[in-house]
Amino acid sequence: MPRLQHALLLQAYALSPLLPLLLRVTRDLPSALNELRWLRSHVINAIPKQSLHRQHATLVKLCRRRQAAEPLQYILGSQPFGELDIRCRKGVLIPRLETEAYSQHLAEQALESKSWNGLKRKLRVLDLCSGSGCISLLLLHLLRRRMGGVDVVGWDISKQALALSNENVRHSLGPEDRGHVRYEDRDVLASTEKDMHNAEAFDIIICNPPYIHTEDSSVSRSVRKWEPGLALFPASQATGPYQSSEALSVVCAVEDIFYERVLKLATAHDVEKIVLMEVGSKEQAIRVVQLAAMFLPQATLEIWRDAPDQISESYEVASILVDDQNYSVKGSGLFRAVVARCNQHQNPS
Amino acid sequence: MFRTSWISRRCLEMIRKPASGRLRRFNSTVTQSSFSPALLARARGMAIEHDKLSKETAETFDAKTSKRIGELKGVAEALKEWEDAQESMSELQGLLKDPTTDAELRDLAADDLNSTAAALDALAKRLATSLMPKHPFEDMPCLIEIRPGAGGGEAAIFAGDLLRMYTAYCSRKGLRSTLLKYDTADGAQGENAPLAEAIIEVESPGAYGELRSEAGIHRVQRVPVTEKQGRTHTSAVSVLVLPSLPTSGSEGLEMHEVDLNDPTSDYYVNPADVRTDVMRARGAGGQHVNTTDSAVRLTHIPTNTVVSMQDGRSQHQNRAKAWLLLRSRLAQAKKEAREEEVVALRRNVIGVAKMGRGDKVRTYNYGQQRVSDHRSGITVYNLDDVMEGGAELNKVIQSVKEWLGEREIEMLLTENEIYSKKK
Repeated sequence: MPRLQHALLLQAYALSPLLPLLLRVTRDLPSALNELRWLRSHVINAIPKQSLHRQHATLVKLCRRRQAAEPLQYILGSQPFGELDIRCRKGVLIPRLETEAYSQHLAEQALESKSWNGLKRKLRVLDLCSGSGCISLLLLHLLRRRMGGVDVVGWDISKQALALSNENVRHSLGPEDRGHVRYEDRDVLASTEKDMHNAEAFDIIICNPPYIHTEDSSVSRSVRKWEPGLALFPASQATGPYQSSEALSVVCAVEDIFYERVLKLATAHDVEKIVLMEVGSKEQAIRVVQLAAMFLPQATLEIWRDAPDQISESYEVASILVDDQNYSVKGSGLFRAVVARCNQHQNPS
Repeated sequence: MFRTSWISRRCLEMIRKPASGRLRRFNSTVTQSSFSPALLARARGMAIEHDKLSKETAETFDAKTSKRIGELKGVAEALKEWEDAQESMSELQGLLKDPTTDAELRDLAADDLNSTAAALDALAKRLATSLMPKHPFEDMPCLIEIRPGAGGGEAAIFAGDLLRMYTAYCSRKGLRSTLLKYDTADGAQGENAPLAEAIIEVESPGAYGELRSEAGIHRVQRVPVTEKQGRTHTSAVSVLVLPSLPTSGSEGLEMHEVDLNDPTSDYYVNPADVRTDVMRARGAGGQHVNTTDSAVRLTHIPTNTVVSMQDGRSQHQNRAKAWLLLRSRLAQAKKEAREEEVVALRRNVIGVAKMGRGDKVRTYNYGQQRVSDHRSGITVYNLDDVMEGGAELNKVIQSVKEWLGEREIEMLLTENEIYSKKK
């Protein structure tokens, strides 16, 4: 990381002595100013009856925590996600802006979908590796007004994540919606098609699994130091009941183990459905497309970028060739998600 | 022997003729009771149209005509009452002048004359208001944008003062206001930081009609806190008042939706023309980083209007606010462009009555504790109350609104004249 320039630090110090602390993490002045403003209003709002002196002392303490690269979301205890406010706590992954973008886009597509629009029954959503519950809660919030309603199930292995997601249900949903969401303590890697056959079919399967290679150097200091490895690095979980399958050894890297499992679960029911998986890089997106083509041969696959609802820049390609197959790439930004649309009676299982 | 000490002759003169000879500054002089003949002609024309149309509808009913009748009815009735009062006035005066009238009758007539004159004034006012064209955005909420102009740091400080003044005024008038944007000049924090730009949203319907007269350059003359040698400085702050889209309320919502979907509306912005930029995380994004940067920038490509918003932590909210601001700015630009054409016709007749960015509209003089409005010519000497958004400010604003109404009628008349000449 390049060193911060002295001129910048001095300029920041002149504005507020607390800014150089924040600059160490944010690296630029405008976002440091924004963070200081948010921290200050948090101190004033969260602990209202304090003397000015005490307030300042609290603010300094929070800035020192931020200086140690602790995520702002953990310090403030929340992160806005679409129209919702999701609580955050150490030990659970913080909702990302990219996740917010594709979740919203997916909800819009589900509302516009012709075959689901006239559907009288509830739309069933499965959120694998649900974490803080942000994706499932936002989908529930956006889809609850549709005619048939919506039912959401989330799976996660982490006790902390399950506790937080249940807290988020109470925090961000109205009492009338709370009954439509349920979080289960499940290990996605250990689950099999049998678990799926016992349950009803799902219309939307969405998954933001851990997908980073343990030695990936592009992980920021703050993330590596503070956020749970369980939600980031899949390699640590590859042991135990999970056995590497043949498909995995053909195309997969070690950080892709979750996708193989998710796709396998998705083949369990032969109904019309959308499967969406977040990915970390272009290379990973291509591997996941290969995997998906293997498991869901009849599905239409596409890749969504960071902002799937925006117009692509001129230098961004509109489609990509994988194994002699052309797949469309939507939106603008980096490759962020692989989406598979399955129609009924197309699975050869 | 009792003697007064020496008294200045000027003071004595001042006592002798209070206020009459003192210096007063008027930019405009308006007399309320007399009625301009052109205005009267317009009212008569409308009354005649009203009569004609009502005769027509007696035979055949037409929704459009009856709507027009509804519009004209107020004017026609006000005019009739005013004419009646005028007539009885002249009759009474005739009685008084007539030498054959007996004493008792003369007394009664004199009594009546006073009450009729008062009634006539009220009726004239009513007629004027009924003639006043309603501003198309009158019922809308508004955005007040405050930016310091010439005068450096002092202008920025005064901009902060104006921000507090309008917030206080709104809360006193029961208008709901929220601070939409607050940018400090060099990023400094705190209550007294110099202001670079502030935007208040006044959400109550009708706020635009209430506050639109505030747009313009506000000038301040005082010894700034930053001044060491006690010199008086003159600085300027520009205030821009834009109509804003209502976002809540059943009535407002209706208007909102109609406006958004109707391509002929000022508020219609084709989403395809707008480019959205969000701040992306550096590097790989996704799980690799946890960014807090939620800034959103909208660019309206045809007009190259750029709006950026980064105040909130929620990108969703920043986007919504940025859209609100973009719509308002574009609508204002469209409206101004439309008005420019008419203004070109009017300009040689009326002079500087158009309220734009260029004109100084009000002066706040701290040395004399005085606030003068250069449009209506009103001067109040309770500066503190004005700066606290109190009753004095209300007085000033009302006077400007009256003045504005009169200017609008004048504009309408000249427009009519020009058009009739053209024909």
